[in-house]
Amino acid sequence: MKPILRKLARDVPAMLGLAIVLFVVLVAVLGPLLAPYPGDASASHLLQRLKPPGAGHPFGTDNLGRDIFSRVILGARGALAIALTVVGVAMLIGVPLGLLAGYRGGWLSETIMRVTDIVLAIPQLVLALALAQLMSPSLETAMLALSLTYWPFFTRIVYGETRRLSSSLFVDALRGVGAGTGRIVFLHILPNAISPVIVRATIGLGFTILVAAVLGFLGMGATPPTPDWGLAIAESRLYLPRAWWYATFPGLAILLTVMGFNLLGDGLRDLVDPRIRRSR
Amino acid sequence: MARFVLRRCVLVLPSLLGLLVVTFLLIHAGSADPAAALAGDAATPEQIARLRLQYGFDRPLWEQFVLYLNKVSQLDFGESAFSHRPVAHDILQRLPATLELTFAALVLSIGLGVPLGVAAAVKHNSWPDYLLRLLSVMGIAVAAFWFAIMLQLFFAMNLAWLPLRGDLASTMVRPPVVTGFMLLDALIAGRWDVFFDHLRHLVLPAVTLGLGGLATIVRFTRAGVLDTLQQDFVFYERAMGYRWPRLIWIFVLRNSLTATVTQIGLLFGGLIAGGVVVESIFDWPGIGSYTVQAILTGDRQVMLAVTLLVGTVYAAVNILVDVVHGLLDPRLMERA
Amino acid sequence: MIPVLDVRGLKVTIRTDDGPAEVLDDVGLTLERGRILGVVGESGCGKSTLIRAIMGILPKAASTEAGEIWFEGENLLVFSERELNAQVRSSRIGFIPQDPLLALNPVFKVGTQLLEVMRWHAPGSRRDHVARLVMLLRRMQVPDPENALERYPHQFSGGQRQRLLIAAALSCAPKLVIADEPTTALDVTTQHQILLLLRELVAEFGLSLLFVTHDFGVVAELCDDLCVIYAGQTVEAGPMRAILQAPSHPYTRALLACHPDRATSFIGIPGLVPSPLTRPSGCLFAARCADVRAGCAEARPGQGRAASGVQVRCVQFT
Repeated sequence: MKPILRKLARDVPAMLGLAIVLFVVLVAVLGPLLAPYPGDASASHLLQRLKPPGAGHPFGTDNLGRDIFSRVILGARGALAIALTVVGVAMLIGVPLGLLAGYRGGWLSETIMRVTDIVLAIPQLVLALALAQLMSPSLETAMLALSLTYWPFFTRIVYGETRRLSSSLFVDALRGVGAGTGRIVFLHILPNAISPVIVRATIGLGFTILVAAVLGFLGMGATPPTPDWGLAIAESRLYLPRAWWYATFPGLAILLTVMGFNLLGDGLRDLVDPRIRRSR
Repeated sequence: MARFVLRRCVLVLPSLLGLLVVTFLLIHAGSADPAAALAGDAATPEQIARLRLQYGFDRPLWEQFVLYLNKVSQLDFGESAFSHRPVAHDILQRLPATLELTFAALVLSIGLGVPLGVAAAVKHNSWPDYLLRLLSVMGIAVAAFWFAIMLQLFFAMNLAWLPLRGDLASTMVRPPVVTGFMLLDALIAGRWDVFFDHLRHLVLPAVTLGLGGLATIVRFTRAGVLDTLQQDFVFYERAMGYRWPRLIWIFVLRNSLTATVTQIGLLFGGLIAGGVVVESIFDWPGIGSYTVQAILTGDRQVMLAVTLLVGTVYAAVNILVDVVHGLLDPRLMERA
Repeated sequence: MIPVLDVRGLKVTIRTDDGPAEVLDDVGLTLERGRILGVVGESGCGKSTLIRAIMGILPKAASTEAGEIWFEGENLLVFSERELNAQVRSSRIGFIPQDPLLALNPVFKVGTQLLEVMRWHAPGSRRDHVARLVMLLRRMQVPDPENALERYPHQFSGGQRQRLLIAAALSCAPKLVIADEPTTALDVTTQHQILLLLRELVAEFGLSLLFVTHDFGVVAELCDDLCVIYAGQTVEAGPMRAILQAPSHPYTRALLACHPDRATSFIGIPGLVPSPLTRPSGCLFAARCADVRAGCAEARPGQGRAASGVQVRCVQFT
């Protein structure tokens, strides 16, 4: 375990990613404590509308006079919550399906993998939009739609690893000793397959934040007045070019967060699979 | 080669069938009365009844599916609840604009991305390499819609170098529609003013759409070239006195593009998805903005048709990617 | 008559993560015109680095600390990369690599690759080049030479590929050919055929051949002269027959004793080759030498001569 951590520590971009992710998590968790105007999650101060960045408002104020700096901080919570939920649910669906398909084989396996292919055949955003629209747009349906489009990634990975592992010697040995299927799959195969899953989950978190921002932008994310990065950018459009700060800072927050997850995910991937290591 | 393509086409049929099943099931998803949902909020009872008949909603499920397949095979995707025109007609009319934008974005991504990736690999671990890697990481992390707005803010609003939205200045008379592609139609009609103005309108959307692809292609080309440079035949070619530029750009590059081509294929998904957002922000009259309009107006027929279209295009692109892989590395075709 | 190739006192150091590695430390060899010189040594003795140094393709982390490489009276080490590429590679020094499958670019036709070399290094039109290649392939006994150029590397057998590469090496009529263990990847019968072929070609085309190998059996079959390298140093050099009949340096004697044809046991040479990162101060072979005596581990021996005239780096002969 330790030499792996040391190797990760030497990877500068991955460490940067880790630092960013930890920073964002901290901001999300401590949100209301860090924001100078925590009440601006809902309150409005029309006398302060559209003030440029300056004293007291490092990111300026929005069209309802709310402090953008605070709302960006508070928005981190929503973004992370959505990302964790979506990826979590996708894992809950995808990993068991992958284990099942990989270990059992036969027509069940074929069916699962065909369905996986089909869902992967449609770009995530389009499918999520179609689903969300059909199920009446709201934050919950958006999250469900995103989970339903992301699980195939996990299934594919776990399927590959399970197949590879189930034909390996140590599984034969376990079967020879009489270990039951459940025991083999959950105690032995799953731990070995978990590393690429973690890599994919990390990258998935970043990707989900992006897609969730798009949905927020399209009005299918959090309902106002809840702070939401994508929604803020959508709102800001009416007030451009004068209130440039309104659109810029939430976007930078998205950029930074997603970059952090991507860098970390890349670093983890280099650790986990040196065979296909991206030549750094 | 023909056999190779044929085999790939045959292999993709189950997925297409599955796609049809999925869209069919989506008709029934989440609502008690599919006919009403399809017809839209402003539909009259007669319209709803007519739809019910067309789709056979009172019949058993498998009969409905056959009816559905029948309609799809005739390219009948129903009528848009918003425009009241056949969806197929709307899509066909808007398709060229989307293709133009997608093509422009691809030209940008590949035309800049591959050379930059090669340059980064050749100048491995020097400052241009680090800079390109940083920009690539940022390029993938950027939210396209935000980037679009930033570009608009900077180039259209502040500097006024480029137009803010649309595909042509509102004061210009559009050339007669021959191909549907405005660039071509302008050339055919000899309207150079239209040609250049349209090009100006194409810049910001294409740059926005192409950014993610550019970053990805730089990344994967760089990795591919670095991997190839470690192979023995590069050493041999150097020993035999191959000239360096040709060595890199011809003999190394062809070996390095496998992963990049795969990514370009996957990019298509991103281009289609990104196209939705970019088109709506820039008011580009293509399928993307059509989709957003459908979302906002709850136009289900359109959403289903677009989903089907997108899935099919994606499958076709995957076949194309396999073909290009085969062209790059002749060994693959023999194994097929 | 000046030798075709005369390497003197070559010292090459490579920067690694663990410090500088003295891969070559005083390597010398002489290849006379029209003869075949075998360079023998175990894996890791620096043979590949030597070849790379001669051809000017050392890795970026390598630096030539000392020595000269005299090729037909010119010191190759002062040539720039552009000069080497334009004037020396392929046109004056040909190269036969070790693994014919890995050496060829897998996604281009064989003809494209061979013609690319001739385009820049051989006079004449493309048609002339094709004609010459077909002639060479026929001489190498590659079946169906005209169509061979249209095929891909993976469509040939190992032996045929090696013949292709020999043809490539000769395509621009060089005077010197460097062969890097070209028979290692082949089975014994094919190996024998290739060695015979090389012998014939040397005589026929008036070549001088530098043949690097780790196999004494091959050396005995092919080479006129011999140069034995241990841990980056030349330890014995001279006519092959003289050395094989009466090896002087303890390392050479031990190596020959280990050869499958002569060995009486599985022991091999006890001990390990000193790492290029930590070369001992005295004689590099002292720790494993059967004739070691006092003083060997302290001072490096200089080059001496055996009774037969063979050069030996051992304190017994200085």
